Amino acid sequence: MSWNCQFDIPGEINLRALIRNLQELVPCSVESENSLSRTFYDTYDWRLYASGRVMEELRINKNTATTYLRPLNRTTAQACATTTGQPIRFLCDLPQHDMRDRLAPIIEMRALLPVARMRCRVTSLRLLDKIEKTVAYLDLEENRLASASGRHRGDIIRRASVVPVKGYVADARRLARLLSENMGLERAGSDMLITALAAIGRKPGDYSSKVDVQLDPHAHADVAGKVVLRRLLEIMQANENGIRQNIDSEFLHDFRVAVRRTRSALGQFKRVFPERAVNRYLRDFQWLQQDTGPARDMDVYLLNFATYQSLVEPSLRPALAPLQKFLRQNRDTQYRRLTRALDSVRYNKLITDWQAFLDKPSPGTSTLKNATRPVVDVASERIWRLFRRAIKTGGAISDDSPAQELHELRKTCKKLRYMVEFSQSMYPQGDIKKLVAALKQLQNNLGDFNDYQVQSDVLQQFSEKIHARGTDGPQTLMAIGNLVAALRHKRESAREAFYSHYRKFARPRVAARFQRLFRHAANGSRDDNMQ
Amino acid sequence: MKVLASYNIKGGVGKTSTAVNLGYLAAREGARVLVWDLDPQGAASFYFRVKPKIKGGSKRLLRRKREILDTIKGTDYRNLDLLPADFSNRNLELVLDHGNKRRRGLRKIIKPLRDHYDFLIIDCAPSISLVSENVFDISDALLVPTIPTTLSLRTLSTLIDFRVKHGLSDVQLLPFFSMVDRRKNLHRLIVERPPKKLSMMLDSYIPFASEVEKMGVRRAPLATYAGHSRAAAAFEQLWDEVKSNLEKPRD
Ligand SMILES: Nc1ncnc2c1ncn2[C@@H]1O[C@H](COP(=O)(O)OP(=O)(O)OP(=O)(O)O)[C@@H](O)[C@H]1O
Ligand SMILES: [Mg+2]
Repeated sequence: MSWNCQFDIPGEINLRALIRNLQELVPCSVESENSLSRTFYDTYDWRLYASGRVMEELRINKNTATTYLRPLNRTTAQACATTTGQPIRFLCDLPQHDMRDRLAPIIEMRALLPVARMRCRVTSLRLLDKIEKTVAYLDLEENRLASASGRHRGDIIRRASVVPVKGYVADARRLARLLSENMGLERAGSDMLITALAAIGRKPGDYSSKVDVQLDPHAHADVAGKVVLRRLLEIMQANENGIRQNIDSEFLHDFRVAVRRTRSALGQFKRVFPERAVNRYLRDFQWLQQDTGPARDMDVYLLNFATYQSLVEPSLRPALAPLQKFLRQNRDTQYRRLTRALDSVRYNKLITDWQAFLDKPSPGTSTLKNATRPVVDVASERIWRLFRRAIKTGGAISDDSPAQELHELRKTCKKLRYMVEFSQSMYPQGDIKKLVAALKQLQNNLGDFNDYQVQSDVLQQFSEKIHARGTDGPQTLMAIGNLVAALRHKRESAREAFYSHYRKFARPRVAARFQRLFRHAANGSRDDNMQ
Repeated sequence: MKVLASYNIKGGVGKTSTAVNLGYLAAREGARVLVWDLDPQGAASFYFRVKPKIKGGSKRLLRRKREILDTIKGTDYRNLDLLPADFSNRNLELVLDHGNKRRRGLRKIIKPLRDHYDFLIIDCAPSISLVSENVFDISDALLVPTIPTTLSLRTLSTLIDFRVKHGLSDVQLLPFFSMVDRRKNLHRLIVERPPKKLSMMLDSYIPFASEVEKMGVRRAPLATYAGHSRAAAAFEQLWDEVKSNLEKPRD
């Protein structure tokens, strides 16, 4: 049952009078008058909103709260969970009911954060039938938005919400008709969440890790390049706080992806920016990436932990506990180190200088070969060249090839993917989607191969470290050994699957699409000697 | 979806109070609960103030699968729904009898419920019949309220034997003492030392209490009007014990 029936209550209408008028028309009783706090939640990257859902928590006191999940613009809940004490942060804070199952594929590892809060006075009325059975509810709400400082002195949103009871929808309809026809109320225009966010000056979807910049194809490459790089800096900065506050693993992840993309863009836009600056920033961003790496690694191992357990013989699973403990401790250490890196002089100077570099207007003329060429030409050239390099490297891979070659291909594909994503606004959407999809498949396979390799090696080292501490039994050594063997086996499967993934990527249709979109601009380029 | 049936061959032992109160407690925790009033008398429907009549009767319910969902009524409590009793429940037996898989008839009927509820709690009529065999077939556990008297214990033994004989040992048997009057010697004696054969008897028991009787006047679950009574606490304890039994791995 999907239902949406909310009315705005204009400021001049007195709630008591409204209830009195209603009681003259239909049998209804005031069930309760509650003061509660209402908090809307979403992940930092608005996963719930993006999936068309709203999560709100109604808290009566410190120890009792009910959390509802409902579709946007609907007032009937899909699931609800009663929680006590602690606010909900992660999936595991929810009781194991329907709500958790519904949320798991959407929010995954992300933390739920409050996006809007309000104090709410609700007068709940029950519409009754002859035997005093409740056949519909009417919630009259007076919501006072909390300002950013948390003090409750914001706007007031007043609404009347008709909530049907299963099997008695006709009664709810009758009540709704009464409210609009006899009492003259108007339907509310938008979801309470949207109204509340607008009132505090926030827009849903105000953060995304996507490089969704719009480039003018004719813009000079140095101007457009800075647009991309500025967007990447924006993503880094948007995630800094979340890393410092250790909210969830994805802040660091998005941060590092932005750093990697920055490096990739700097490396790819050759002869667009002055070489000295490029070299300096490449060096500094590489330092930043390396310095943030160990913390991310710990996040990855911990996120994978459930999978690791499933890879180990059931009898050995409990013996993995010391590994988890080791990872957690290590993660804490690495995150502390990470915060120090973000507070360091080097980092702050890097960001200030980088910002200044990006803000400096481009000169308009340049001795650099590519700086003032149309960005679409430079991008096409780079993409076309990366594509051909990928084909060349991939085509040469055979059963005898060392892992290094797959590693090279993986890096080329990543650069290619980034370039395509930076440039997507300049090419037809549909084409880009198809290319990215084809590329993604191959990248996943190459990524798996690499990850299993690295993880099995690193876990082996961890096992030795844990053993050296002498805190585990022989069972743990065996369990990790078991896991390492399973990961090696998966690596081999990924290696075997490579050919079919590569063939799919290199099929004529994909190649023709790359050629059609990107080759024209590359014509005449001196590297273009392969056709 | 876990299926629990409140069942006893004997009448008037507290089956309906059990179904109604445990259903309420489960829903209060956030689980989605459906109470199925399978007793033609419609006592559970009465407690929830739902008219016991459903359109077309149970025959229609059995024929048109999806219809079960449309027949459901919301109660006055969140997450707690009711499938009302119908006088033609009396015919349920006949209807089941016509099918070829006599003991499997209910399986198909409850299938559409599985996505919508965490618990289905069935309030059974006092009898042993084809309907009850069907209930055993779909249930994860039978909650068997048992008054601590010699006769009641004998009835319980009969049920245990029946379950074994008919190969229905998949269903967990969760008997517990009900309407326990500690002023009565016999009650005290039996509750403190239940016969060996009844090792599965739960530790929780429901005392005889006037608050429970008042459910008939209040037409509401006990916890809504006497939340601090001893009987209400007993139902909470019973519910916790039932849950932990459901989570236990079965051998
Ligand atoms: N713990 C209790 N203390 C006092 N009275 C109780 C208790 N439990 C049930 N009763 C009362 O006993 C009567 C029978 O209870 P209930 O309807 O729950 O039993 P039942 O097994 O479902 O009966 P039936 O076989 O008729 O369906 C009711 O009037 C009820 O109010
Ligand atoms: Mg009964």
